[in-house]
Amino acid sequence: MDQDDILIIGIGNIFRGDDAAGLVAAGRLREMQLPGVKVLEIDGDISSLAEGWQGAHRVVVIDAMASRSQAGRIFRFEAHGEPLPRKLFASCCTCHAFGLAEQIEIARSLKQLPSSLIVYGLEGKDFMLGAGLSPEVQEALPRLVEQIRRDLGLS
Amino acid sequence: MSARTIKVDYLARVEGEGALHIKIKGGRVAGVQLQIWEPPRFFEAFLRGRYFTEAPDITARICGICPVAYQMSAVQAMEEALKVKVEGPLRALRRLLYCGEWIESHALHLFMLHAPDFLGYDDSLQMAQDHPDLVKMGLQLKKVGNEVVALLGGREIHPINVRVGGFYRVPSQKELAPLAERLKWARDAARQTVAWVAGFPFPDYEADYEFVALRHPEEYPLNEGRLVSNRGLDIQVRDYERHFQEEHVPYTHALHSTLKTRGHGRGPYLVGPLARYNLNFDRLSPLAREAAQQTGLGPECRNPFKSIIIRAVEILYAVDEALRLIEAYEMPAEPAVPAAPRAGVGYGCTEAPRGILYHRYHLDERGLIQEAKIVPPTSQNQMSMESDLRQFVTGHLDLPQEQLTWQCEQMIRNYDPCISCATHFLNLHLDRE
Repeated sequence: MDQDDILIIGIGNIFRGDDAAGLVAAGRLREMQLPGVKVLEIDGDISSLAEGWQGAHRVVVIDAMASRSQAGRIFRFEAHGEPLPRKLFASCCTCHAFGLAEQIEIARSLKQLPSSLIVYGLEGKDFMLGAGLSPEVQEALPRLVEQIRRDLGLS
Repeated sequence: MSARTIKVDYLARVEGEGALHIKIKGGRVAGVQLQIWEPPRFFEAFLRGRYFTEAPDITARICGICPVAYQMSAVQAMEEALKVKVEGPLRALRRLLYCGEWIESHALHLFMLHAPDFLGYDDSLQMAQDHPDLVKMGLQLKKVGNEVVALLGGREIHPINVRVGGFYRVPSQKELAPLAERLKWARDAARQTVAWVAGFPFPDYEADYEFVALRHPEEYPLNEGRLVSNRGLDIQVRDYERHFQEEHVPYTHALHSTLKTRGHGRGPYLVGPLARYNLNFDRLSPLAREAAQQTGLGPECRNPFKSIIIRAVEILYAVDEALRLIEAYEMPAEPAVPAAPRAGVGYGCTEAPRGILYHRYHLDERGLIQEAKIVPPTSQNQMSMESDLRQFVTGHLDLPQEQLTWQCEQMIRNYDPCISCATHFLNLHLDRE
């Protein structure tokens, strides 16, 4: 990808209720066909996250969170500067307990972080298998998408 | 009288959730309980009434690390029930797909979950700070395995291209060529890995296991063979349930498997890399065998801590075998042989990265599943894990609590337990009284 491009990565599992939030948000940003924006959706093994952003300088990652705060709340972290709070990004649903926070820290140790890595978390409510998005998350999604657009200077 | 408890409230670097309690009383190990408390998932029950074609995709969902193993055992069983033979390039492609899974699964366990134990790190994150090049190599190896699975299976996790009779789509020779280049890099990396892990410090421990693995006349076992053991078991897969039995144990959600032993009732047995290696050393490719021998490992190994070396040897074997299969590959005219429904019973057993995975299905004349049985490797190893811990702790009671606890966790990780398969785990408690 072009150095100046912005890469948006959505992470989630469409079969686990609000866990799909990151994928849905990334999908909406893809549909907007924003200039200079590439979108990658990861619905499984996130161990290849660093591979995905190789060559990109500006990266935005969107994932669902289960931090017991209010459903629909939006969090923003500048992960290039400091580690994500591990507790907020539960690794319970991933293989061998490698969550997003761990993946980012491994990439940091391996000097594979992009110069700008912004992580957006959207607090979920229901992560049950087979559940759809909760009303709180559905309501928050347009706000999240708009905030990301503004953040990237694209709105 | 001194009492001691070994307790680890959350055992990391295993797949799933559960607990381990070890009680030491009066200088003796009074009890070892491996408690798997993830809820049962009832796959066998909800397979009933489904069409035979659905089994590979439904059972693949049992595990995100070894979905190919579930697909391979499922299609093998279905094809036996339907009297379908999958041979030639289609069989070779399945073996290639399985090699991909071995590479990614073993690389994940070896580099990210198990190596930190030997080097004194809490996790791979810490290890990555001091050994970035090794962690990069491990992640790359895993990626090569994922690429094999993605190319043949359609995607890297829960592949969707396997079907009863063959595949939905088969690759051309040209599509496989870039994979071969990546595998050549992986072959060198795997050789380095064998040499690296062989230099780890290994606790002094050996056990008198009954090893159980598949054995094939020509190949190192992956997707075909007879079930054999080092104590004389030599049976067809269809006779599995005459020799092996699953039973409920009150403290765990996963069923315990036992093997009928001559004159001694029922006992534990060991499946997985250590068992495969001990029973099939002569079936390794020359390259993998030489790499093992160069580390000083002979055809026999009874130290479970050294299973990390054997996993490295199996990565090398899987890479070498994948390259051989790609070189010999000729694209078949059809991606699958026809499979028509009929009433019957089929049995399948293949070598998942963690050991033998057994499936049995009863089909009615419409091809609907009437009964399904699935025995994953981790539940087969549960009793061996407990007996290993009992024996290991007995011989190392003089170790300080922290070190003993560490080595007990390490012992469990020797098995690379996949608790989502067995049904899931792990907290560790070592009680001294």
